[in-house]
Amino acid sequence: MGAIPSFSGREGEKALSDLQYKEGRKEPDFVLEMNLRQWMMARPRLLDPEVQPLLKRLHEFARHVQSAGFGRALKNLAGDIADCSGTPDLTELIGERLCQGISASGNAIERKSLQETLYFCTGIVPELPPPEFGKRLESFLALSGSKGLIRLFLSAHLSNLIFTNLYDFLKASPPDVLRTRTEAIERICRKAAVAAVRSLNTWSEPDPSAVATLLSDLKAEMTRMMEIR
Amino acid sequence: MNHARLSWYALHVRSRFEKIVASNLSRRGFEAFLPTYKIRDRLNERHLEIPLFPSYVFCGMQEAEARLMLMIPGVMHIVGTGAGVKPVDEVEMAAVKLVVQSPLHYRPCRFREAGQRVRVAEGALHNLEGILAESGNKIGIVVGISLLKVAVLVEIGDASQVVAVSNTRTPVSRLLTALKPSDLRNAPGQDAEGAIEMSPFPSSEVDRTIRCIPATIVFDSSRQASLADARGVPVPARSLLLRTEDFDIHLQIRCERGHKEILGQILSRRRKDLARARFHLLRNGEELQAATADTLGEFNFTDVPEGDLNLQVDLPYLTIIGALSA
Repeated sequence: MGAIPSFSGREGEKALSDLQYKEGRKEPDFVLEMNLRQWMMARPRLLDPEVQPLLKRLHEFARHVQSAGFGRALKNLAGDIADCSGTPDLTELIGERLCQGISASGNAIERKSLQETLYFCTGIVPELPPPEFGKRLESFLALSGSKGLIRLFLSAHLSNLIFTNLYDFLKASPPDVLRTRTEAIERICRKAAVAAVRSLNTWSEPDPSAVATLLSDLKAEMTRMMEIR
Repeated sequence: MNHARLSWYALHVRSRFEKIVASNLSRRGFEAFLPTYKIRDRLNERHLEIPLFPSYVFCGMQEAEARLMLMIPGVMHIVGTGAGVKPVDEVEMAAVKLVVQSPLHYRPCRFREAGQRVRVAEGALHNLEGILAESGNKIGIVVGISLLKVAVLVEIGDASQVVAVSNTRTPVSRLLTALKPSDLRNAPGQDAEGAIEMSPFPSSEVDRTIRCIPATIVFDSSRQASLADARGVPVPARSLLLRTEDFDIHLQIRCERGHKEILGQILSRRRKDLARARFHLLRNGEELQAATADTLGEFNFTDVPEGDLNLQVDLPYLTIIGALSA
């Protein structure tokens, strides 16, 4: 576990195309690439240590939903859910409870990423009644498992971190360039997350070392993507 | 939330998150605007409402609040320019809102900067300005958001509902820079058909959808004093009649206490869309004043400067140009 997957020449080509920000233009976005490199170099750990317990909680929540159903898992996590009328309430509640006490410095980005993850795995529908939301989450977990949920979270969280940390750089981009840059960042993060969770195949019970390995795999993937040129 | 001086900012959101972001903004007390349009889902025989500008949601806020938006699920960034985040132009925003609130059929289209600018004279889109376009066998107006380079085409039916807006017809006026009143003046008794013929405008400089016709002076009371008496022109007022095709433009130039004013009326036997015709007084191609005709086709200009002037009348698909000296 934890081995960095090797890239064939074809995968390298694909990763390179991720950095191409203009359709029909065969030049990579050097400025974006440079900024991403600098950002990664400035971060010894790609994700904060607070993410480790969060991933563990997310995994446990997913397993609980799979074994006991969404209703019971939610009640176990959040207690009374009488006030939840639909998806926005549910995602907010789950995000808040999973993030509770994990960061002294505030966990707004983590909560945002968790909420987006829940939207992703329930079909990106603005308003779903709680039973339908639960049914969709159960279906997703039956198909993709907690690994799928963690993959979505890592992808969303990594891109949110980049959007926030490169805010000043991105805000100086004209609208069309901003669009292609954000899409490129999303694609890179998605690929890095997919590659990083490959090692989760045998991961039934999360332990601190397994989560640490997952996060280091994620950074290794990002670094590799930046270096393929 | 502080509601002092809010501007509309465009939030760039994750794919398919537009409604989620708009809903989350409203829940947090921000004013959100997500323009949508309806398409027919042929597979399920029903109508779907989808975002007009995919990946964009508009939010009314102050610039200082921009960074807070990044914490809303689905928001990736706030759109700006090289100088930083930038609000959407208020007029453009109001135009898009007017279109999506109207009962008319609209859909997204390619953004255009060039073209004939027109204004809707009546109906649900009254005063909406945009670029004239054809939509099937109907007439449409393209309204865009220049910051995002996105646009919407709204169908408005027939051309009689729109009047041209001056700024894009200014090139026509510029062609008149060298045109003097004497070039467009008839000899006494000569009718319009016998007037000095103006060379046609170069097609590259004038929108092909707009026909430009010169109006000639067929009567000038300062030159035809005897006829002026017959027309009952009060002294010191001066009366002019400009004529072209089916149009008569009557002008009365008055001078009171050193200030000149022009009272005018446009008349036509056939055209019924003269109300709200747009009149422009120009000198050397630059607009000095503009006025809109009332229901009787009457208009006026005040504080008219002395010297050679051009009069431009914008009607749907037609521009009338004339020259006079005040």
